Amino acid sequence: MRGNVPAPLLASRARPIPALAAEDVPLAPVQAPRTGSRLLPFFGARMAGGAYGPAMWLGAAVLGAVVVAVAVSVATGSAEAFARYGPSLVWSGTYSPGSAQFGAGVLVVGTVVTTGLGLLLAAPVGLGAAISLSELVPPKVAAVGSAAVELLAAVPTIVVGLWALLLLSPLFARDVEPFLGSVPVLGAAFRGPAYGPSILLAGVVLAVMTLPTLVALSRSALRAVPVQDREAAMALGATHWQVVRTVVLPAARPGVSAAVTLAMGRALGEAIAVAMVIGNSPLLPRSLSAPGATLGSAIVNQFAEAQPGLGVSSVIALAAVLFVLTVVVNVAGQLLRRGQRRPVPRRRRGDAIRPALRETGDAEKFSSTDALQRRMAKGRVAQGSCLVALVASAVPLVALVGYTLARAAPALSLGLLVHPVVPYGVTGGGISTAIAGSARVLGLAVALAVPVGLLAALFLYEHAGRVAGLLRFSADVLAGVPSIVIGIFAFQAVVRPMHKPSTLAASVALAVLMLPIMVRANEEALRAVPVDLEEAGAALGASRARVVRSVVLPGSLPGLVAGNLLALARAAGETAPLLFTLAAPSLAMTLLVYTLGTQPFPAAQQEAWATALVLLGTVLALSTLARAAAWHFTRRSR
Amino acid sequence: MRWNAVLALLAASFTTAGLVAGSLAASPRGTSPIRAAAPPAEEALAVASRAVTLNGAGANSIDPLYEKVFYDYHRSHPGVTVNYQPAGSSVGVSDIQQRTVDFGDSEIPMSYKDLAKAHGTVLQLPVDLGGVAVSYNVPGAPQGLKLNGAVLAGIFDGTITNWDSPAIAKVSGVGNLPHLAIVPVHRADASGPGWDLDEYLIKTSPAWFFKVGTSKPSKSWPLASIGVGEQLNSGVANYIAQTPGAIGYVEYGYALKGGFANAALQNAAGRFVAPSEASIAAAGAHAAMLAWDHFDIIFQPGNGTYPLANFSWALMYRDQPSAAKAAALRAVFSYVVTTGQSAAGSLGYAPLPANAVALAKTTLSQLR
Repeated sequence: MRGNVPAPLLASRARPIPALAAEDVPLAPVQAPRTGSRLLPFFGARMAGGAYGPAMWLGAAVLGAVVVAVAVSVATGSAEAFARYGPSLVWSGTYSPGSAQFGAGVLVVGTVVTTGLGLLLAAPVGLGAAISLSELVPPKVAAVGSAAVELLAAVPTIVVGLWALLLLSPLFARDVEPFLGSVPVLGAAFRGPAYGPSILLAGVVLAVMTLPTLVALSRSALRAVPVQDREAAMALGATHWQVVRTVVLPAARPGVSAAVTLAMGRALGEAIAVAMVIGNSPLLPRSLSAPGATLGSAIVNQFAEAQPGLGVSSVIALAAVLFVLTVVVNVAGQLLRRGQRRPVPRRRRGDAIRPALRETGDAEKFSSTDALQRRMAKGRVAQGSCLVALVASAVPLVALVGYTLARAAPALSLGLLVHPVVPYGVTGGGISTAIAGSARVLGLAVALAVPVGLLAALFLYEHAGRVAGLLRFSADVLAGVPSIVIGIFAFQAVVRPMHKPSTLAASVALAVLMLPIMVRANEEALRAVPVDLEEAGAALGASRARVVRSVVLPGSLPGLVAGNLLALARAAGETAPLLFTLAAPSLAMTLLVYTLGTQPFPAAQQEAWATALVLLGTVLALSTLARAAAWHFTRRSR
Repeated sequence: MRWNAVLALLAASFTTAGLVAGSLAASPRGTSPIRAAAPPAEEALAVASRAVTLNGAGANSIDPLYEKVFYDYHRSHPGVTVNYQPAGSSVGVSDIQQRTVDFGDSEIPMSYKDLAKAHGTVLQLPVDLGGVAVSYNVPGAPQGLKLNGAVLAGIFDGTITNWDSPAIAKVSGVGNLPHLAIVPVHRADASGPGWDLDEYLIKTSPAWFFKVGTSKPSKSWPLASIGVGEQLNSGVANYIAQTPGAIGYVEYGYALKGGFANAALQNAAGRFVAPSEASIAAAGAHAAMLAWDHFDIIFQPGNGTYPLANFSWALMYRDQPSAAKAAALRAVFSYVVTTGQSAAGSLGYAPLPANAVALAKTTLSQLR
C-alpha cells in the first residue's frame, strides 16, 4: 500500500498504519484507554443542543440490534429442529432431507475437510508470497505486487466458482484426478472414479479464493515488525534470511495466524462457489476426488425448497451450526490480530533478537567462512522457495482474470450493456436488467448501511469501556457471519413478512453484510486523525460535536470513503444473500452469472462470462477507487 | 452507566420499530418492474397507474417456456411484469405455502398433505406438457441408445459401472460402446424429473423397487450416494455436457437445447421410444381424466408413447389480495395455456391437449 516508503520509516511510525488490505479487514488499532478529552459524557454539558450524542447512540444501537436480530433469527428459526432432534443434530451422521433426516455431522466433516484442504494449499504459498513481498523483492515490485494482491482479494467468489466449474472441473475429471490417483503413496487419498466435481476441487476453489486475503494480511503483519529488531539482528551478522527466520517471522506470528484464521472463516462460510463444484453428495468422504457436501452447499441446495416447519427449521439449524463455527473462528482471528498490534512492551527489548544472537553468537561457527557460506546457501534456498511461492500465488489469479477476459471478449459489446435480458431463442438481448438490478440493490444497501456505519464508528471512537468493547465485539461477530446465513436472515425478516421477494430484502442482506466492515474501517480512519489537531480545536473552545464535524470528519474523509468503498466492493460481488431475496435471476449480476453459468449452452455461458467480466470490472473499479482514496489519505496524514 | 444502558435499549427498540415500519411502508413498491424491453414512454405513462408485478417461483423444467411466454406477454401488455425464479419444483410448493410468491410451479402437483400446510385454498392448473430425457455423453455412441428399466436401474444403483457392459450391449443392440466408466448424475435438489424417473424404474425394475424399498416415487433422488448430484436441470445438463461417460435425466427442453444424445426408453407397449414433441404429446393424450390429484402419465400405453412425460402445474391462491392481482393472474395464465403454447414445440415441450386447456381455464375462473 505504501510501497514508495522505505520499510524502516514505515515500521517506526508510532501510529499504526491503517491496513486497508482489500479484505474486510481494517481493524481498529487498540490504543491505550482514552482519557479526558475523548471521554464524552452522554448529553454532556458541552454537547448542549447538539444531536451528536443521541445520533451516535442511535448508530450504536442499530448495530447492536442488527447483531441481536441475526442471532435471534437463526436461534428461533432452528429452535424447532433442535427441539425435535436434540443437540445430536450437530454431529449425527445422516443427511437426507428426502427421508427427513437432517444430521449435520457429515456436512461439518465436509466443511472442515474442504476448508482444511484449501488452507493447506493456500497457506504455504500465501506465506511465501507475503515474505517475498515484504522482505525480498525490490520496493517497486513489492508495491505493484501488493497492489495487485489487494485488488484480487475483491474478486467475487462467483467468478472463481464459474472458472472452476467451466474450466477446472472437466480438467480435473480428465487429467488431474486420474494423475493424482496414480501417484504411489499419495494416490490412496484420491482413489475412486474421477468425477471432476469433488472435495479436491472445492478445496482448490477455497484456496484460490483465500489466497489474496492471506497474502495481504500476512504481508502487513510482517511489515509491522519493528525495523530496529531487524537492524539489531543484522548487526550481529545474521544473513538476510536469518533475519527473516529468527526475528521477523516469530514476531509476526500472531498476525500471520490471524491471517490464516480469518481466511479460514471466509472459507468455512463460502457457499455458492463450493456448491458449484463439490458434487453435492452428503456422504462421509471416502476419497478427496469423491463428491462431497458442506454446510454452506447444503444450505444453498436445500433452503429454498425445504418444507415449511421442520424442513425449513432443519436447514436453519445447519445455518446455526455454520454460524457458530465461523463466528468462533473469526473472533479468534480478530483477537489474534489485535494482539499483534497491541504495543505493550511486555518483553524486554532485545528478547526479539535473542534467537538471532543464539545462531550467530557461537564465535567458532560464526567466524568460519564455511559456516557463513552454508548459512548463505540455506538462505538462498529459502528465499528461492519464497519467490517461487510468489510466482505460484500469481498463477491462479492471473489465469482466472485472463480466462474470464478471453471468454468474455467475444460477447462484449455496447448492446450487451444497454439491452435487457431476454429469454432463450430471442435475439438481441443483453444484461442491462441485471446491471440496473445490482445498482438498485447496492444503492439501497448503501443508503441503509453508510449512516449506521458512520454513527456506530463515531460511537466507538468517542467511547471507551465496556459498552464500546461489547459493540466492537458485536461487529466482529457480525463480520464472521457467512453471507448465506445473512441471506436466510433477510428471507426470514423481510421476504416472509412482506410476502414477496424484493429489492429491499436483498438490500437489507447486503447492508447487514457491509455494516461491520464499514464500522471497523471507519473507526480506524477516525483514529488516524492526529490527536493534536483535535486538542487544538478543543483549545479554541469548540464543542465536541464541532471538533468532530470540522476537524475529525474532514481529516478522516478519504479514509472513510476508502473503507466504505471496500465494503461496497465486497457486497457487489456477493451472490448468496441474493439467492433467496430477489424475484428473478436476471435482477442482479451475480445471480445471473450463477444461473447462466450453470447452463450447458454456449450462448448462455458466453453471456455468463460477459456478465462476470462486467461484475469483475465493477468490483475492481470500486476497490481501485478505495485504494486511491486510501493513498490520498496516507499522503495527507504523513 | 445505568442511564446509558437504558437509553441504549430505548434507542434500540425505537430503531427496530422504525425499521419495521419503514419496511412495511416500503413494501407496496419494493420491487420495480424491470424485466423486458422498456415500453414506449406514452404507453408506459398510460399503464403506470395500473402496473402489476407478479412474482413466481418453482420448477425450472418449465423455465424456458415461462421465460419466453412472460417476455412475449410483457411486450404486448407492458403494464404487467412477471418475475420467475426457476429454483425447483419444491421451491414452488414451499414458497406458496409460505406465501412469498404470487404463483408457484411444480412438476408434481401439491398433495393433500402439502395443501394442508397452505394458508387458504390453492388452485392448481396444468400449464405445460413436457418429457424427461435420459441423456448421455458417450463418445462414439449413437443417438437414441435403447435402454430399458432394468439397465437404467443398474446404472443408477451402481451395479452397471462401464459403458461396455454386456447388459447395455444386449438391450441396446450396440456392441461397440467404449470402455468408459459410467458416471450417473442425479438431481441434488428435490425434483419433478427425479420423481418421474423414480416412478418409471419402480414400475419396470424389481431390483430398483427392492433397493428403494417403496412403491411411492420420491422427488428427492432415492440413491443419492451413487454418482454425482447436481443442482437443477441446468446443473445436471451442464455436467453431462462436460463429462464423457456421464448419464443423467433432464427436462427434454434442456436436452434439446444442449444437443444431447437421448436414450430411447422401453415403453409399456415394449417399444423403444426417444423423447420428441410427438412422443410426449402421445403420452399427454392419455390424460383423459386429468386433475391435480390424477396427474400421472408415466409409462402410458401406446406404441409411440414416450414413457417419461408429465404436466407442469401452476399453483396460486384462489383468494387474491386484490382484484387487480387476480385479474392479472387470470389474464397471464389464460395466455400461457392458449397463445403461449405455440412456443412449446420449438422449446422441447408438446402443446397442452384440449382437455388440459379446458381444465386450466375452469380452474382460473375460480380466481377472485
